[in-house]
Amino acid sequence: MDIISRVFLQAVAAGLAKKQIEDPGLSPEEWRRLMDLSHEQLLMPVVFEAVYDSMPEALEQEYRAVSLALISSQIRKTDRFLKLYKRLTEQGVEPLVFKGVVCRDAYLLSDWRVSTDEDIYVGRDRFMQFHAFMKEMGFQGSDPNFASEHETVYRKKDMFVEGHWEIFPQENSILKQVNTLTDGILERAVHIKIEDTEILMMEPSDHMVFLLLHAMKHLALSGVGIRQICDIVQWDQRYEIDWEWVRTSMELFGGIRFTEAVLDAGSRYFGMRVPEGWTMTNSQKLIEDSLEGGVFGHNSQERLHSASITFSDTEGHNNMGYNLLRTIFPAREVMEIRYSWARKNPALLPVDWGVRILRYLTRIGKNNSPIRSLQIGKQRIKLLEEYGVFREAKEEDSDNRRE
Amino acid sequence: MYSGKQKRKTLITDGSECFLRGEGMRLKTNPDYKYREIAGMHYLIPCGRASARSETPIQLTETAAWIWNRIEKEMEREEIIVCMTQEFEVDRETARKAVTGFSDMLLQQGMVEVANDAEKRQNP
Repeated sequence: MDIISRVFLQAVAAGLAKKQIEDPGLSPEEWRRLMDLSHEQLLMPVVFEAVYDSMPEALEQEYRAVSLALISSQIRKTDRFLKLYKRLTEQGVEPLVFKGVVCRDAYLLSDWRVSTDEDIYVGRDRFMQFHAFMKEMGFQGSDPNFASEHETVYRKKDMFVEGHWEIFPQENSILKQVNTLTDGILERAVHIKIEDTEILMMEPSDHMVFLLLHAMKHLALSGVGIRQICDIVQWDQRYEIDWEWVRTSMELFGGIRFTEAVLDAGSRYFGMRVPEGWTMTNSQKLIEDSLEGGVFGHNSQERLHSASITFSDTEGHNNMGYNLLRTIFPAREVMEIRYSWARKNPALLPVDWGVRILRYLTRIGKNNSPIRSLQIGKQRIKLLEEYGVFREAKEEDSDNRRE
Repeated sequence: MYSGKQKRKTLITDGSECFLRGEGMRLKTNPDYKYREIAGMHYLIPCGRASARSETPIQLTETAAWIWNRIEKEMEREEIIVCMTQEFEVDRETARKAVTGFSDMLLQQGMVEVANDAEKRQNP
Protein backbone atom coordinates (compact mmCIF):
# COMPACT_ATOMS: atom_id res chain seq x y z
CA MET A 1 0.00 0.00 0.00
CA ASP A 2 1.49 3.36 -1.00
CA ILE A 3 1.77 6.39 1.24
CA ILE A 4 -1.27 8.12 -0.28
CA SER A 5 -3.50 5.12 0.45
CA ARG A 6 -2.12 4.83 3.98
CA VAL A 7 -2.67 8.54 4.74
CA PHE A 8 -6.12 8.35 3.14
CA LEU A 9 -7.23 5.49 5.41
CA GLN A 10 -5.80 7.23 8.51
CA ALA A 11 -7.48 10.48 7.54
CA VAL A 12 -10.86 8.81 6.95
CA ALA A 13 -10.68 7.16 10.40
CA ALA A 14 -9.72 10.45 12.05
CA GLY A 15 -12.23 12.54 10.07
CA LEU A 16 -15.08 10.22 11.05
CA ALA A 17 -14.29 11.08 14.68
CA LYS A 18 -13.73 14.80 13.87
CA LYS A 19 -10.06 14.45 14.71
CA GLN A 20 -6.88 15.55 12.97
CA ILE A 21 -4.02 13.32 11.89
CA GLU A 22 -0.39 14.23 12.45
CA ASP A 23 1.18 16.11 9.56
CA PRO A 24 2.03 13.32 7.09
CA GLY A 25 4.66 15.53 5.41
CA LEU A 26 3.29 15.21 1.89
CA SER A 27 4.50 17.23 -1.09
CA PRO A 28 1.94 19.47 -2.86
CA GLU A 29 1.67 16.83 -5.59
CA GLU A 30 1.00 14.11 -3.00
CA TRP A 31 -1.63 16.29 -1.30
CA ARG A 32 -3.41 16.59 -4.63
CA ARG A 33 -3.26 12.82 -5.11
CA LEU A 34 -4.69 12.34 -1.62
CA MET A 35 -7.54 14.74 -2.28
CA ASP A 36 -8.22 13.19 -5.71
CA LEU A 37 -8.47 9.78 -4.07
CA SER A 38 -10.78 11.24 -1.39
CA HIS A 39 -12.94 12.77 -4.08
CA GLU A 40 -13.14 9.48 -6.05
CA GLN A 41 -14.24 7.75 -2.88
CA LEU A 42 -16.84 10.45 -2.10
CA LEU A 43 -15.05 11.10 1.18
CA MET A 44 -13.43 14.45 0.50
CA PRO A 45 -15.07 16.44 3.33
CA VAL A 46 -14.24 13.65 5.82
CA VAL A 47 -10.58 13.58 4.76
CA PHE A 48 -10.30 17.38 4.65
CA GLU A 49 -11.64 17.55 8.21
CA ALA A 50 -8.68 15.40 9.30
CA VAL A 51 -5.91 17.09 7.33
CA TYR A 52 -6.76 20.79 6.82
CA ASP A 53 -4.31 21.92 9.47
CA SER A 54 -1.37 20.13 7.85
CA MET A 55 -2.00 21.30 4.27
CA PRO A 56 -0.08 24.11 2.57
CA GLU A 57 -2.19 27.27 2.84
CA ALA A 58 -3.04 27.62 -0.86
CA LEU A 59 -4.22 24.02 -1.06
CA GLU A 60 -6.07 24.34 2.22
CA GLN A 61 -8.07 27.28 0.83
CA GLU A 62 -8.77 25.47 -2.43
CA TYR A 63 -10.01 22.28 -0.80
CA ARG A 64 -11.88 24.16 1.93
CA ALA A 65 -13.94 25.82 -0.80
CA VAL A 66 -14.71 22.42 -2.38
CA SER A 67 -15.45 20.78 0.94
CA LEU A 68 -17.69 23.65 2.03
CA ALA A 69 -19.57 23.51 -1.28
CA LEU A 70 -20.09 19.73 -0.96
CA ILE A 71 -21.27 19.92 2.64
CA SER A 72 -23.55 22.93 1.98
CA SER A 73 -25.11 21.21 -1.00
CA GLN A 74 -25.65 18.06 1.07
CA ILE A 75 -27.28 20.04 3.90
CA ARG A 76 -29.69 21.65 1.43
CA LYS A 77 -30.48 18.33 -0.28
CA THR A 78 -31.15 16.64 3.07
CA ASP A 79 -33.39 19.53 4.10
CA ARG A 80 -35.36 19.26 0.85
CA PHE A 81 -35.62 15.49 1.11
CA LEU A 82 -36.90 15.64 4.70
CA LYS A 83 -39.55 18.20 3.71
CA LEU A 84 -40.54 16.01 0.75
CA TYR A 85 -40.73 12.95 2.99
CA LYS A 86 -42.93 14.80 5.47
CA ARG A 87 -45.35 15.73 2.68
CA LEU A 88 -45.33 12.18 1.35
CA THR A 89 -46.22 10.90 4.80
CA GLU A 90 -49.03 13.44 5.04
CA GLN A 91 -50.35 12.02 1.74
CA GLY A 92 -50.53 8.58 3.31
CA VAL A 93 -47.45 7.21 1.54
CA GLU A 94 -44.84 6.42 4.13
CA PRO A 95 -41.86 5.04 2.26
CA LEU A 96 -39.11 3.00 3.82
CA VAL A 97 -35.85 4.94 3.60
CA PHE A 98 -32.54 3.17 3.16
CA LYS A 99 -28.89 4.16 2.56
CA GLY A 100 -28.59 7.96 2.01
CA VAL A 101 -30.08 9.99 4.81
CA VAL A 102 -30.34 7.13 7.33
CA CYS A 103 -26.68 6.22 6.77
CA ARG A 104 -25.69 9.87 7.09
CA ASP A 105 -27.55 10.06 10.37
CA ALA A 106 -25.28 7.34 11.75
CA TYR A 107 -22.21 9.54 11.18
CA LEU A 108 -20.94 11.99 13.79
CA LEU A 109 -20.63 14.57 10.99
CA SER A 110 -23.62 13.54 8.96
CA ASP A 111 -23.43 16.09 6.14
CA TRP A 112 -19.78 15.22 5.50
CA ARG A 113 -21.03 11.93 4.04
CA VAL A 114 -22.20 13.23 0.70
CA SER A 115 -24.48 11.18 -1.51
CA THR A 116 -25.88 11.70 -4.95
CA ASP A 117 -29.38 10.43 -4.28
CA GLU A 118 -31.86 9.18 -1.70
CA ASP A 119 -33.35 5.71 -1.86
CA ILE A 120 -36.87 4.92 -0.81
CA TYR A 121 -38.84 1.70 -1.00
CA VAL A 122 -42.50 2.22 -1.71
CA GLY A 123 -43.59 -1.25 -2.76
CA ARG A 124 -45.68 -2.13 -5.81
CA ASP A 125 -49.11 -1.43 -4.35
CA ARG A 126 -48.46 2.24 -3.51
CA PHE A 127 -46.07 3.03 -6.32
CA MET A 128 -48.49 4.78 -8.66
CA GLN A 129 -49.72 7.02 -5.85
CA PHE A 130 -46.09 7.85 -5.09
CA HIS A 131 -45.37 8.45 -8.78
CA ALA A 132 -48.32 10.87 -9.09
CA PHE A 133 -47.13 12.76 -6.01
CA MET A 134 -43.58 13.09 -7.35
CA LYS A 135 -44.89 14.45 -10.67
CA GLU A 136 -47.05 16.92 -8.80
CA MET A 137 -44.00 18.07 -6.84
CA GLY A 138 -42.22 18.82 -10.12
CA PHE A 139 -39.94 15.77 -10.30
CA GLN A 140 -39.13 14.23 -13.66
CA GLY A 141 -39.10 10.43 -13.78
CA SER A 142 -36.20 8.84 -15.68
CA ASP A 143 -38.25 5.88 -16.75
CA PRO A 144 -41.80 6.85 -17.78
CA ASN A 145 -42.57 3.29 -18.95
CA PHE A 146 -41.26 1.64 -15.76
CA ALA A 147 -39.11 -0.66 -17.87
CA SER A 148 -36.73 -1.33 -14.97
CA GLU A 149 -37.60 -4.25 -12.79
CA HIS A 150 -37.02 -2.55 -9.48
CA GLU A 151 -36.80 1.24 -9.42
CA THR A 152 -37.10 4.53 -11.20
CA VAL A 153 -35.14 7.70 -10.57
CA TYR A 154 -36.87 11.05 -10.03
CA ARG A 155 -35.00 14.27 -10.53
CA LYS A 156 -35.66 17.88 -9.65
CA LYS A 157 -32.69 20.22 -10.17
CA ASP A 158 -29.77 18.59 -8.30
CA MET A 159 -31.98 16.33 -6.22
CA PHE A 160 -32.36 12.67 -7.14
CA VAL A 161 -34.75 10.26 -5.46
CA GLU A 162 -34.68 6.58 -6.38
CA GLY A 163 -38.16 5.18 -5.88
CA HIS A 164 -38.02 1.39 -5.51
CA TRP A 165 -40.81 -1.11 -5.82
CA GLU A 166 -38.17 -3.81 -5.22
CA ILE A 167 -35.05 -3.13 -3.19
CA PHE A 168 -32.59 -4.91 -5.50
CA PRO A 169 -32.74 -5.37 -9.27
CA GLN A 170 -34.09 -8.76 -10.28
CA GLU A 171 -32.30 -9.08 -13.61
CA ASN A 172 -29.59 -11.35 -12.26
CA SER A 173 -30.61 -14.67 -10.79
CA ILE A 174 -28.41 -14.22 -7.73
CA LEU A 175 -29.62 -10.73 -7.06
CA LYS A 176 -33.15 -12.07 -7.31
CA GLN A 177 -32.49 -14.16 -4.21
CA VAL A 178 -31.66 -10.97 -2.40
CA ASN A 179 -35.20 -9.76 -2.72
CA THR A 180 -36.35 -12.54 -0.44
CA LEU A 181 -34.77 -10.38 2.25
CA THR A 182 -37.69 -8.02 1.86
CA ASP A 183 -40.03 -10.63 3.37
CA GLY A 184 -41.36 -9.11 6.57
CA ILE A 185 -39.16 -6.05 6.23
CA LEU A 186 -42.04 -3.59 6.58
CA GLU A 187 -43.43 -5.37 9.65
CA ARG A 188 -40.05 -5.06 11.35
CA ALA A 189 -39.39 -1.46 10.22
CA VAL A 190 -38.78 1.22 12.86
CA HIS A 191 -39.14 4.99 13.11
CA ILE A 192 -36.24 7.33 13.80
CA LYS A 193 -36.21 11.10 14.04
CA ILE A 194 -33.86 12.98 11.74
CA GLU A 195 -33.91 16.66 12.56
CA ASP A 196 -37.66 17.11 13.10
CA THR A 197 -38.86 14.47 10.68
CA GLU A 198 -39.96 10.96 11.56
CA ILE A 199 -38.48 8.52 9.10
CA LEU A 200 -39.43 4.90 8.58
CA MET A 201 -36.35 2.76 8.10
CA MET A 202 -35.44 -0.90 8.15
CA GLU A 203 -34.87 -2.41 11.56
CA PRO A 204 -31.12 -1.74 12.19
CA SER A 205 -30.02 -5.39 11.83
CA ASP A 206 -32.03 -5.72 8.60
CA HIS A 207 -30.35 -2.56 7.34
CA MET A 208 -26.95 -3.95 8.29
CA VAL A 209 -27.68 -7.06 6.22
CA PHE A 210 -28.84 -4.79 3.43
CA LEU A 211 -25.63 -2.70 3.58
CA LEU A 212 -23.50 -5.86 3.49
CA LEU A 213 -25.46 -7.35 0.58
CA HIS A 214 -25.37 -4.05 -1.26
CA ALA A 215 -21.59 -3.89 -0.80
CA MET A 216 -21.30 -7.52 -1.93
CA LYS A 217 -23.38 -6.76 -5.00
CA HIS A 218 -21.00 -3.92 -5.87
CA LEU A 219 -17.99 -6.18 -5.30
CA ALA A 220 -19.50 -8.69 -7.73
CA LEU A 221 -20.00 -5.93 -10.31
CA SER A 222 -17.09 -3.52 -10.28
CA GLY A 223 -16.03 -2.86 -6.70
CA VAL A 224 -16.88 -1.76 -3.18
CA GLY A 225 -15.95 1.77 -2.16
CA ILE A 226 -14.29 2.66 1.13
CA ARG A 227 -17.37 4.73 1.95
CA GLN A 228 -19.52 1.61 1.84
CA ILE A 229 -17.22 0.04 4.43
CA CYS A 230 -17.45 3.25 6.49
CA ASP A 231 -21.26 3.08 6.33
CA ILE A 232 -21.16 -0.43 7.79
CA VAL A 233 -18.75 0.63 10.56
CA GLN A 234 -20.79 3.73 11.44
CA TRP A 235 -24.03 1.74 11.38
CA ASP A 236 -22.58 -0.77 13.84
CA GLN A 237 -21.42 2.04 16.12
CA ARG A 238 -24.80 3.78 16.03
CA TYR A 239 -27.14 0.81 16.53
CA GLU A 240 -27.34 -2.42 18.47
CA ILE A 241 -26.93 -5.07 15.80
CA ASP A 242 -28.10 -8.65 16.10
CA TRP A 243 -25.01 -10.21 14.57
CA GLU A 244 -26.50 -13.71 14.77
CA TRP A 245 -29.28 -12.55 12.47
CA VAL A 246 -26.62 -11.03 10.21
CA ARG A 247 -24.84 -14.39 10.13
CA THR A 248 -28.04 -16.29 9.31
CA SER A 249 -28.83 -13.88 6.47
CA MET A 250 -25.33 -13.65 5.06
CA GLU A 251 -25.02 -17.46 5.12
CA LEU A 252 -28.15 -17.60 3.02
CA PHE A 253 -26.50 -15.44 0.40
CA GLY A 254 -22.99 -16.84 0.62
CA GLY A 255 -21.57 -13.73 2.23
CA ILE A 256 -19.89 -14.98 5.39
CA ARG A 257 -16.27 -14.63 4.23
CA PHE A 258 -17.07 -11.26 2.69
CA THR A 259 -18.62 -10.10 5.99
CA GLU A 260 -15.55 -11.35 7.86
CA ALA A 261 -13.35 -9.34 5.50
CA VAL A 262 -15.46 -6.21 6.04
CA LEU A 263 -15.18 -6.73 9.81
CA ASP A 264 -11.42 -7.11 9.42
CA ALA A 265 -11.20 -3.90 7.40
CA GLY A 266 -13.51 -2.10 9.82
CA SER A 267 -11.52 -3.10 12.87
CA ARG A 268 -8.10 -2.71 11.24
CA TYR A 269 -8.67 0.78 9.82
CA PHE A 270 -11.77 2.35 11.35
CA GLY A 271 -11.93 1.18 14.95
CA MET A 272 -14.86 -1.21 14.56
CA ARG A 273 -15.34 -3.72 17.36
CA VAL A 274 -15.52 -7.28 16.10
CA PRO A 275 -18.85 -8.82 17.14
CA GLU A 276 -18.73 -11.77 19.49
CA GLY A 277 -18.46 -15.14 17.79
CA TRP A 278 -17.09 -13.75 14.51
CA THR A 279 -13.66 -14.49 13.13
CA MET A 280 -11.96 -12.32 10.55
CA THR A 281 -10.78 -12.90 7.00
CA ASN A 282 -7.82 -10.84 5.80
CA SER A 283 -9.19 -7.77 4.07
CA GLN A 284 -6.01 -6.56 2.38
CA LYS A 285 -7.13 -7.48 -1.13
CA LEU A 286 -10.60 -6.09 -0.57
CA ILE A 287 -9.10 -2.77 0.58
CA GLU A 288 -6.66 -2.68 -2.34
CA ASP A 289 -9.51 -3.34 -4.77
CA SER A 290 -11.61 -0.65 -3.08
CA LEU A 291 -8.82 1.92 -3.22
CA GLU A 292 -8.21 1.20 -6.87
CA GLY A 293 -11.85 1.18 -7.86
CA GLY A 294 -13.32 4.44 -6.52
CA VAL A 295 -16.63 4.82 -4.83
CA PHE A 296 -18.47 1.92 -6.49
CA GLY A 297 -15.65 0.60 -8.63
CA HIS A 298 -16.43 3.26 -11.24
CA ASN A 299 -12.92 4.65 -11.55
CA SER A 300 -12.18 3.58 -15.11
CA GLN A 301 -13.94 2.38 -18.22
CA GLU A 302 -11.82 -0.79 -18.13
CA ARG A 303 -13.06 -1.57 -14.63
CA LEU A 304 -16.64 -0.89 -15.61
CA HIS A 305 -16.29 -3.19 -18.61
CA SER A 306 -14.74 -5.83 -16.38
CA ALA A 307 -18.05 -5.86 -14.50
CA SER A 308 -19.44 -7.94 -17.38
CA ILE A 309 -16.90 -10.64 -16.55
CA THR A 310 -17.44 -10.74 -12.83
CA PHE A 311 -21.18 -10.44 -13.30
CA SER A 312 -21.32 -13.39 -15.64
CA ASP A 313 -19.03 -15.27 -13.27
CA THR A 314 -21.59 -14.94 -10.52
CA GLU A 315 -23.97 -16.72 -12.92
CA GLY A 316 -21.53 -19.63 -13.15
CA HIS A 317 -19.91 -19.04 -16.58
CA ASN A 318 -16.27 -19.09 -15.59
CA ASN A 319 -14.82 -19.55 -19.04
CA MET A 320 -12.34 -17.21 -20.71
CA GLY A 321 -13.95 -17.42 -24.16
CA TYR A 322 -17.31 -16.74 -22.68
CA ASN A 323 -15.83 -13.88 -20.67
CA LEU A 324 -14.20 -12.36 -23.74
CA LEU A 325 -17.51 -12.55 -25.54
CA ARG A 326 -19.22 -11.06 -22.55
CA THR A 327 -16.80 -8.12 -22.44
CA ILE A 328 -17.92 -7.16 -25.91
CA PHE A 329 -21.49 -8.44 -25.70
CA PRO A 330 -22.41 -7.92 -22.08
CA ALA A 331 -25.55 -9.53 -20.88
CA ARG A 332 -28.64 -7.38 -21.19
CA GLU A 333 -28.80 -7.08 -17.41
CA VAL A 334 -25.32 -5.54 -17.16
CA MET A 335 -25.98 -3.21 -20.05
CA GLU A 336 -29.14 -2.12 -18.33
CA ILE A 337 -27.34 -1.49 -15.10
CA ARG A 338 -24.80 0.71 -16.84
CA TYR A 339 -26.77 2.37 -19.61
CA SER A 340 -30.06 3.72 -18.41
CA TRP A 341 -31.28 4.34 -21.97
CA ALA A 342 -31.03 0.62 -22.63
CA ARG A 343 -33.67 0.07 -19.99
CA LYS A 344 -36.06 2.18 -21.98
CA ASN A 345 -35.10 0.72 -25.35
CA PRO A 346 -33.93 -2.89 -25.03
CA ALA A 347 -34.42 -3.24 -28.79
CA LEU A 348 -31.54 -0.83 -29.34
CA LEU A 349 -29.01 -2.99 -27.49
CA PRO A 350 -27.43 -4.39 -30.69
CA VAL A 351 -26.69 -0.79 -31.71
CA ASP A 352 -24.68 -0.34 -28.58
CA TRP A 353 -22.85 -3.62 -29.20
CA GLY A 354 -21.83 -2.24 -32.59
CA VAL A 355 -20.62 0.99 -31.01
CA ARG A 356 -18.71 -1.02 -28.46
CA ILE A 357 -16.93 -3.24 -31.01
CA LEU A 358 -15.94 -0.16 -33.01
CA ARG A 359 -14.63 1.59 -29.93
CA TYR A 360 -12.68 -1.52 -28.88
CA LEU A 361 -11.16 -2.00 -32.30
CA THR A 362 -9.99 1.61 -32.41
CA ARG A 363 -8.53 1.38 -28.91
CA ILE A 364 -6.59 -1.87 -29.40
CA GLY A 365 -2.97 -0.95 -29.80
CA LYS A 366 -3.45 2.40 -28.13
CA ASN A 367 -3.89 1.46 -24.52
CA ASN A 368 -5.09 -2.15 -24.75
CA SER A 369 -8.37 -1.26 -23.10
CA PRO A 370 -10.17 -4.60 -23.79
CA ILE A 371 -7.13 -6.56 -22.62
CA ARG A 372 -6.94 -4.43 -19.51
CA SER A 373 -10.66 -5.07 -18.90
CA LEU A 374 -10.00 -8.79 -19.14
CA GLN A 375 -7.03 -8.53 -16.78
CA ILE A 376 -9.08 -6.58 -14.26
CA GLY A 377 -11.97 -9.01 -14.70
CA LYS A 378 -9.70 -12.02 -14.06
CA GLN A 379 -8.16 -10.42 -10.98
CA ARG A 380 -11.57 -9.55 -9.70
CA ILE A 381 -12.90 -13.10 -10.22
CA LYS A 382 -9.99 -14.29 -8.05
CA LEU A 383 -11.01 -11.72 -5.48
CA LEU A 384 -14.61 -12.95 -5.53
CA GLU A 385 -13.30 -16.51 -5.13
CA GLU A 386 -11.09 -15.46 -2.23
CA TYR A 387 -14.06 -13.94 -0.41
CA GLY A 388 -16.42 -16.69 -1.53
CA VAL A 389 -18.83 -14.12 -2.90
CA PHE A 390 -22.14 -15.74 -3.75
CA ARG A 391 -20.42 -19.15 -3.97
CA GLU A 392 -21.27 -20.54 -0.60
CA ALA A 393 -24.93 -19.60 -0.77
CA LYS A 394 -27.18 -21.97 1.08
CA GLU A 395 -30.44 -23.16 -0.28
CA GLU A 396 -33.00 -20.82 1.13
CA ASP A 397 -34.43 -22.25 4.28
CA SER A 398 -37.58 -20.53 5.35
CA ASP A 399 -37.05 -21.73 8.93
CA ASN A 400 -34.00 -19.48 9.13
CA ARG A 401 -35.95 -16.34 8.49
CA ARG A 402 -36.50 -14.06 11.42
CA GLU A 403 -40.03 -13.20 12.46
CA MET B 1 -44.08 39.83 17.70
CA TYR B 2 -42.52 39.53 21.10
CA SER B 3 -44.80 38.28 23.82
CA GLY B 4 -44.39 36.60 27.17
CA LYS B 5 -41.91 37.43 29.92
CA GLN B 6 -40.17 40.78 29.46
CA LYS B 7 -37.56 41.92 31.94
CA ARG B 8 -36.64 45.18 30.31
CA LYS B 9 -37.61 46.52 26.96
CA THR B 10 -36.30 49.48 25.03
CA LEU B 11 -37.05 50.69 21.59
CA ILE B 12 -33.93 51.38 19.62
CA THR B 13 -33.44 52.59 16.12
CA ASP B 14 -31.00 51.45 13.51
CA GLY B 15 -31.19 53.66 10.45
CA SER B 16 -34.82 53.85 9.42
CA GLU B 17 -35.83 50.56 11.08
CA CYS B 18 -36.93 50.01 14.62
CA PHE B 19 -36.19 46.95 16.73
CA LEU B 20 -37.38 45.81 20.06
CA ARG B 21 -34.42 45.24 22.30
CA GLY B 22 -34.75 43.72 25.68
CA GLU B 23 -31.92 41.89 27.36
CA GLY B 24 -34.45 39.45 28.80
CA MET B 25 -35.61 38.67 25.27
CA ARG B 26 -35.49 35.06 24.19
CA LEU B 27 -34.62 34.48 20.57
CA LYS B 28 -34.76 31.39 18.44
CA THR B 29 -32.74 30.60 15.36
CA ASN B 30 -34.38 30.38 11.96
CA PRO B 31 -34.29 26.66 11.04
CA ASP B 32 -33.47 27.64 7.46
CA TYR B 33 -29.94 28.52 8.67
CA LYS B 34 -27.97 25.46 9.73
CA TYR B 35 -24.89 26.02 11.84
CA ARG B 36 -21.87 23.81 11.15
CA GLU B 37 -18.26 23.85 12.29
CA ILE B 38 -16.34 22.76 9.21
CA ALA B 39 -12.60 22.14 9.51
CA GLY B 40 -12.17 24.56 12.41
CA MET B 41 -14.31 27.37 10.99
CA HIS B 42 -17.89 28.31 11.75
CA TYR B 43 -20.59 28.68 9.11
CA LEU B 44 -24.30 29.19 8.72
CA ILE B 45 -25.60 27.32 5.70
CA PRO B 46 -28.76 28.75 4.14
CA CYS B 47 -31.42 26.14 3.23
CA GLY B 48 -35.07 26.21 2.23
CA ARG B 49 -36.45 29.73 1.77
CA ALA B 50 -33.20 31.29 2.96
CA SER B 51 -31.31 29.59 0.12
CA ALA B 52 -33.62 31.22 -2.41
CA ARG B 53 -32.05 34.52 -1.35
CA SER B 54 -28.46 33.24 -1.32
CA GLU B 55 -26.82 29.84 -1.10
CA THR B 56 -23.49 31.28 0.00
CA PRO B 57 -22.41 30.00 3.43
CA ILE B 58 -21.99 32.76 6.01
CA GLN B 59 -18.76 32.53 7.96
CA LEU B 60 -18.99 33.39 11.66
CA THR B 61 -16.23 34.43 14.04
CA GLU B 62 -15.61 32.34 17.17
CA THR B 63 -17.60 34.79 19.29
CA ALA B 64 -20.48 35.00 16.82
CA ALA B 65 -20.65 31.19 16.69
CA TRP B 66 -20.60 31.09 20.49
CA ILE B 67 -23.56 33.51 20.65
CA TRP B 68 -25.45 31.65 17.86
CA ASN B 69 -25.12 28.36 19.75
CA ARG B 70 -26.58 29.93 22.88
CA ILE B 71 -29.46 31.44 20.94
CA GLU B 72 -30.03 27.97 19.47
CA LYS B 73 -30.39 26.67 23.04
CA GLU B 74 -33.03 29.39 23.49
CA MET B 75 -31.14 31.13 26.29
CA GLU B 76 -32.36 34.63 27.11
CA ARG B 77 -30.12 37.48 26.02
CA GLU B 78 -29.50 38.36 29.64
CA GLU B 79 -28.29 34.82 30.33
CA ILE B 80 -26.04 34.93 27.27
CA ILE B 81 -24.53 38.23 28.43
CA VAL B 82 -23.84 36.85 31.91
CA CYS B 83 -22.35 33.67 30.41
CA MET B 84 -20.11 35.74 28.17
CA THR B 85 -18.72 37.83 31.04
CA GLN B 86 -17.75 34.57 32.77
CA GLU B 87 -16.40 32.61 29.80
CA PHE B 88 -14.56 35.38 28.01
CA GLU B 89 -13.63 37.38 31.14
CA VAL B 90 -15.00 40.62 29.73
CA ASP B 91 -16.99 43.32 31.53
CA ARG B 92 -20.75 43.39 31.28
CA GLU B 93 -20.88 46.38 28.95
CA THR B 94 -18.56 44.72 26.41
CA ALA B 95 -20.58 41.50 26.58
CA ARG B 96 -23.87 43.41 26.25
CA LYS B 97 -22.62 45.25 23.16
CA ALA B 98 -21.42 42.04 21.53
CA VAL B 99 -24.58 40.05 22.24
CA THR B 100 -27.16 42.72 21.45
CA GLY B 101 -25.22 44.02 18.44
CA PHE B 102 -24.92 40.58 16.87
CA SER B 103 -28.42 39.41 17.73
CA ASP B 104 -29.98 42.63 16.44
CA MET B 105 -28.16 42.10 13.17
CA LEU B 106 -29.45 38.49 13.04
CA LEU B 107 -32.98 39.74 13.74
CA GLN B 108 -32.67 42.31 11.01
CA GLN B 109 -31.55 39.65 8.54
CA GLY B 110 -34.33 37.26 9.58
CA MET B 111 -31.76 34.71 10.75
CA VAL B 112 -33.28 34.62 14.23
CA GLU B 113 -36.69 35.55 15.49
CA VAL B 114 -38.23 36.36 18.84
CA ALA B 115 -39.20 33.11 20.51
CA ASN B 116 -42.77 32.69 21.54
CA ASP B 117 -42.43 31.86 25.19
CA ALA B 118 -46.04 30.79 25.41
CA GLU B 119 -45.44 28.20 22.67
CA LYS B 120 -42.32 27.05 24.45
CA ARG B 121 -44.26 26.54 27.67
CA GLN B 122 -46.86 24.47 25.81
CA ASN B 123 -44.26 22.36 24.01
CA PRO B 124 -41.27 22.21 26.33
